[in-house]
This record gives sequence, structure tokens and C-alpha cells, in this order.
Amino acid sequence: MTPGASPRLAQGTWISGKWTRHRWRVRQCLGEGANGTVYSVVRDDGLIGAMKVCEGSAQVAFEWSLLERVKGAAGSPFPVPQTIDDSDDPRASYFYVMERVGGSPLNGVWSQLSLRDQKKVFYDIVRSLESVHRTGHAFCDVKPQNILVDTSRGLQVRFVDVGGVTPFGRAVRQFTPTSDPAYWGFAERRASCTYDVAAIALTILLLENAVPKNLAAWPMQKRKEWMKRLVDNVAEGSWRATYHKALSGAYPDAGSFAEDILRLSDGTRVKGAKRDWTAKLMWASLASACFSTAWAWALFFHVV
Amino acid sequence: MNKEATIRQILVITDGYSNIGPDPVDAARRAQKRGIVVNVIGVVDKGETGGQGYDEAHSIADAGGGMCRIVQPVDLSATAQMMTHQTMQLTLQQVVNQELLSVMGKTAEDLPPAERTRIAQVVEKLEEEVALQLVVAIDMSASMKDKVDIVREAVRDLALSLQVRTGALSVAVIAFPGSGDAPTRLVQPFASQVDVRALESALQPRGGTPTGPAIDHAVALILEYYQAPVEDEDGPRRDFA
Ligand SMILES: Nc1ncnc2c1ncn2[C@@H]1O[C@H](COP(=O)(O)OP(=O)(O)O)[C@@H](O)[C@H]1O
Repeated sequence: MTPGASPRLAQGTWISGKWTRHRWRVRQCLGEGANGTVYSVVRDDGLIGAMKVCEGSAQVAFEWSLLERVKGAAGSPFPVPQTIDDSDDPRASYFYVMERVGGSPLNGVWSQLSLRDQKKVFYDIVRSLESVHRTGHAFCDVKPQNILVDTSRGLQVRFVDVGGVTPFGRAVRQFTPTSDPAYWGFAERRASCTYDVAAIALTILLLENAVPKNLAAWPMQKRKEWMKRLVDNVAEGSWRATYHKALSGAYPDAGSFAEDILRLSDGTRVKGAKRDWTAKLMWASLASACFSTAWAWALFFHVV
Repeated sequence: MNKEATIRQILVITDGYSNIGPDPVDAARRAQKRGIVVNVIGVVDKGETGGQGYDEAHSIADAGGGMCRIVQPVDLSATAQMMTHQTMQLTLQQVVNQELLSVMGKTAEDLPPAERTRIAQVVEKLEEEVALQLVVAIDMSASMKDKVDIVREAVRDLALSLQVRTGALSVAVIAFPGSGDAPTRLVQPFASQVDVRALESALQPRGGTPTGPAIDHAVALILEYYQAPVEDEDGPRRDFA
């Protein structure tokens, strides 16, 4: 049961599925986690995917069932599941293949974003959480490494690592201390909307503030006091109440948190004054596009 | 499978090589024979890569049918929780596999992956509902001095996580070495939560590392508990032995 016990797959290796008879060619290793290794792969029919290889068949089946459950009706922030299979290659005995998600982890991207883009990404993450919640599950292991932001695609936000996803009401199985509201003394470690809301608030706060070095040795009450003080000193004063509310579990759901983020971000935009001309041009062309489409429909219905 | 089913685990938190008493690997094997899983977390300081002591940690976990992780002190808390959950899952998976084998003559691996998914969901539900009996055995040898606070918080934190489960929790804590000549010391007997004050006063690093005796003590605690008459529960208990 040691992670990474099976050796890595080399680039160019073909993996043959025993059950589906599909074959995948390994392109590169995308990352290694606590529960397995993820590779970028191409299926024999050209479909691009990400292959997660785990030590045991049970972990593969478990993560697969989670991916299926959070798929939701209308697009999930998590990768879309493609195939679950086994192979005779001992380096990939048990695996599943999912959509390959683009972008880089939030922690690498955050400091390069403008203030406004940071707010947009924050808002999109919370809306994505809301869509996970609609399936009756919480993300739980909300940490910057599990949130990918694609800067080449209009800052699209996606989640990876479905392993922590938990049905509402059950005990959280997988978490990262600094993003865990229970570790900071704000909540129970039980899957809920409020758990995720507090977790993402912590995550964002800690992208901009380093935690004390000996935090792990502190009793919980002391951690909580430290975090509250941090919020009291957030540079943009208008955000403090929202952070406090998120941490204390006062938002009933992710949607109402998202609305407050939007409201406060609008404030940033107004105060930040001038929209630059590219944005103006974009809005103008968007408006005219809508207008002409509307015209086209009007003609279609009334004239024809 | 009924709800009184209980999973029994020992979690050893250590930072080095055992040097007093019987071989911990043998002790772990004895535990495993009794249906008790032994997990080990080796705590290393920054820069350390882990030597002999960490090989031993792996061997103990192998013999005890559990997992081993070598972590930095800051990761102790999340790791303890993750291991406990994963080994519970593993134990349940083994039980389910045995039932499959006896009912269908098949292992989970013989089933198509899509059907394994259904088993995984059953296991996930059982894991939330099954009772857990856990002994945390904490290495309090002299070298643990700088890590005492972190270990204390991690144990408290682990109990907080496990209390949220639907299934009952009983947790006991022992420290090794004990006071005087005693190789081990009972910090708290089985209870539904961790007694923080007992933990605070009991964790005093000193002396060597009697890991073997600590595992034997933990096993004895669990077995005693099972021999004692059960008062508060009706219905038979069933163990995953
Ligand atoms: N579908 C995916 N598309 C692209 N990259 C992925 C995908 N899934 C995982 N990764 C990358 O692989 C890394 C490890 O995967 P993860 O699922 O987090 O492993 P674990 O659950 O074992 O921690 C992630 O941090 C991410 O960078």
C-alpha cells in the first residue's frame, strides 16, 4: 500500500483495455497524487483523455463512481468520465480514463491575475461549487492544487481530484489542513455546502497570506483567532464581512456567497473606474450581435 | 452485515527505530492474526529522508495488514485521518470480497469494472456506518520532544474527524515509553472522544522506543474490551476478524 509502488509508464507506451478492447497511448505524466498517477493519453480512435492509474481496483471503482455521480445534468466542473478498464500491464493494472482538463493550478496562476480577474475566478469557483452541490455532494478537498484555471480559455475554472467528494451529511474523508474549516475551528468536518464555502474562503485568503510556521502545534482556538484577525485586516475593507460570514457558516449555500462576491466585485470595477477600450469594443460588438440576431429571428417569424 | 460490526485498528505514531522489548513486526503480526489492523505513521523532520527506523515502520505496517506513511509533522493530522479511512475501506473491501467469493465464487477483480463501482458504493456507505475501535499508540521517546504539540493536536483532530461519522467511535490512547520502568502507559481507556487534558499531561518525551510492547499493549486493550460484558448494547457484535 505504498503510493507510487508501480513504476511510471513511459511516454509512448500502449495500454490495452481488457474489457473495452480500447487502446491508449501514453503521452506524458500529468501528476502524481496520494491515490495514484495521472497520465495524458490518446485513445486508438483519437480521443484525448487523462488516465488515472491506482494501486487497487477498489480505489479506481470508487473514484469512478464519484465522477459519475457529480456529472450532473448540465456540465460538471470535474472531468467527464470516459472509460473504466483493466490491463495486463502491471504498471497500469487498474485505471479509468476521463476528460483531459486544461489550465494550471490556482496557486500558480493567482498572483499573475489582475484584481478584477481574481474576483472573476473566485466567483466562478463558487458557482462551480454550487453546481457540485446540486448533485448532493460537497467537494471537500478544496485546495489550490485541485482547482485548475485555464488562462488561454477566458479563465475557465475546473476541478480535479474527485477523491474527496462526499455526499452531504457524511464525514469528510480527504482534506488539506490549511483549507479545512474544521482545522481552523470554524466547522465540523462533515460534508455540506457551508463546509465548502468556508473552505474556499480559507483557500483564497491563504493565497495571499502565509500561515504561521508552527501552526500545526497550535490549539484550534488559537488558529481560529489568528484567522479572524487576518480577515479583520483584509485590505479591501468591504470584503471583511463577507469572509467572516463565509467562515462562520452563515451562508446557507454557495449561490448566496457567489452573489455577494459579484456585488462586491462590481464595487471594485466601479471604483477601479474606466473599463479599457477592448472591453468596450467587445461589449459593443456583443450588443450589435445580439441585435442582429434578434432582427434575424424577427424576420424569420414575422416576415416568412 | 449488521450495524454492530466493528473495525479494529491500531495507529502507531513514531519517529524512529524501536529499541526496547519484543520485535514490533512480530507484535504487528500477532495483532493481524486477531483481526486488528496496524497502521504506522513515521514522523520526520525537514531534510531527513528516513533511515532504518522508516524501513521498520513499513515492515510493521506490512505485518499488521495496514498502511505506512512517512510524513512531515505538519502533514500528520491529514495523513492520520486519510489512513484510518482508507484502511477501513480496505478491511470492508476484504469482507465484501470474501462474501463475493463464497456466494458467487468470484473476486471483485473478476467482475466487470462497472459492477465493481456498485461494490465501491456499498463499501463507502458501510465505511460511514461501521463502528470503529481505535488505539492510538504514541511514541514519546526523547527524540519526539519538538513534535509533542503537533502530535497532540493531530490526535485531537483525528478524533474530531472520526466522531462525525455515523458509526460509533471508541478511541483509546497509549504512550510509549511509560513512566518509571513501564514500557507503556495508558493515557486514556476506550471512550467516545479524546480526553485532551489527559493527553496534555501524559505526553512527556523521555527514554527509548518500545514499539513492540506498545503494540502488544494496544492488542490487549482491544481484547479485554471484547471479553468484558457488554452492557449498553443489545444484540450480538460481529467483528471483522
Ligand atoms: N482530468 C485531468 N486533466 C488534467 N490533469 C489532471 C486531471 N486529473 C488529475 N490531473 C493532474 O494530476 C494531478 C494528480 O491527480 P489527483 O487526482 O489529484 O491525484 P490524487 O487524487 O491521487 O491526489 C493533479 O494535481 C492534476 O494536476
